[in-house]
Amino acid sequence: MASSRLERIGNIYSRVRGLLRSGAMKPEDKPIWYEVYEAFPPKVEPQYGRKASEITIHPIFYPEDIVRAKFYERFGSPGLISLANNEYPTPCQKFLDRYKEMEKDFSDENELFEAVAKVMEEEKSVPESVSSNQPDSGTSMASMFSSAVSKSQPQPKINVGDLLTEK
Amino acid sequence: MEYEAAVKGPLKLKGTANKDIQKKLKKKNKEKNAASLKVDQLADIKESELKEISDPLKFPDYFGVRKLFRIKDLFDARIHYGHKDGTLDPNMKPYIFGSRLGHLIFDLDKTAEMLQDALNFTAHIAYRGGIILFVSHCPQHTLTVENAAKQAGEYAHAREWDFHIFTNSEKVYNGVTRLPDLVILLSTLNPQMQEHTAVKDAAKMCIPTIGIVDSNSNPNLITYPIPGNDDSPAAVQLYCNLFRDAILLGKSKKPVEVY
Repeated sequence: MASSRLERIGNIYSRVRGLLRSGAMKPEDKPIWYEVYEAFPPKVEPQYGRKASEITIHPIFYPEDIVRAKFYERFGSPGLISLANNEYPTPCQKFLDRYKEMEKDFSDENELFEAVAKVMEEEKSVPESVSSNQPDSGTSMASMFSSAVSKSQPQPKINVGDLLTEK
Repeated sequence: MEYEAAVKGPLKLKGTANKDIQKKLKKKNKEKNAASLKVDQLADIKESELKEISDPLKFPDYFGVRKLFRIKDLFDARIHYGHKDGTLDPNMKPYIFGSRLGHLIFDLDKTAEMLQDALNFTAHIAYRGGIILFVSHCPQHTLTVENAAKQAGEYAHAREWDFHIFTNSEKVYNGVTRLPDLVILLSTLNPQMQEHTAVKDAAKMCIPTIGIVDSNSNPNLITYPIPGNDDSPAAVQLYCNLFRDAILLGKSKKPVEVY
């Protein structure tokens, strides 16, 4: 039985069709998938050297992203967010919901942001502002090290001579 | 865009065929109602016409594969996550919805359509008694793929791929071999991030392939590519379940002719 192994020329359908038409492949040797392919051809014909189309990939941004950026700048991130758990909204999501509710009362974006921040801080729904934190109680690496240094007890000085003289 | 032009193009075979069948059935019903029921009229339906009416290829979705999944299931299984901007294969651009801070997101509408086509094809091949081979080289998903193949009653090759399995099968297996009639690739890349040998070899041996192509894979040689995430275990589990269900649906219908 004849076959064609040239994967870069046409596609499997065009090659098998060519073999059948020329008589190299007998009708009873027709592959099982041939009729199924004819009835349901793929949306895009497979072809080895097809040139990639000139499409630009657009970035995905939402209008709420500006509010999100301001929020993270002011309040920071809680550190650990579970993407799989949809039950509990994150502090940022709660902030956005409140922002939408209060949007009609204010015309200026900055005013609105400050107002929402004030309300949420009063309700203690958001962590304290990163900017208002004192350096000692901050959670940055540098502050942790500095606090560790100050906390560490002074090492007791061991005199080796004294150790050896003791019995 | 090439993809959209092809979609709007003249691939209306399934719709018109269905209308022809409906016209024929309407005509027969009219004749029934005009005169009283006569056994002769039913016998007038020729045997060839009967075969044409009941041929599964004439129906757009004979096995009901559209009901197997919804777009929400694809979203929950994280199929819309691609890799980063830098690793994008240019041939995958038509299937990308956009880039969220550097992370590529697939257009699930297109994925759903292509997944339906692939599942329909699988069901038809299973209906005709074809051999289906699940192929994957990702070690993380070996168990998922092999279990799916077992449950479907078909075959799986989720280990290292020997180069001569398809192209020189008679030497490798020491005898006459029947190659698979369909290869389903759960991932078109091997652990070295190069195109899996099965893609090229199946194209060489005139075997149709269905493949999950991620944003860093090349879909050109695959007969029915499905753009989507191939790295999350949840995504691979979903694909395996869908293909297994499509195969079982295909096998459950009794074939009119035996191949």
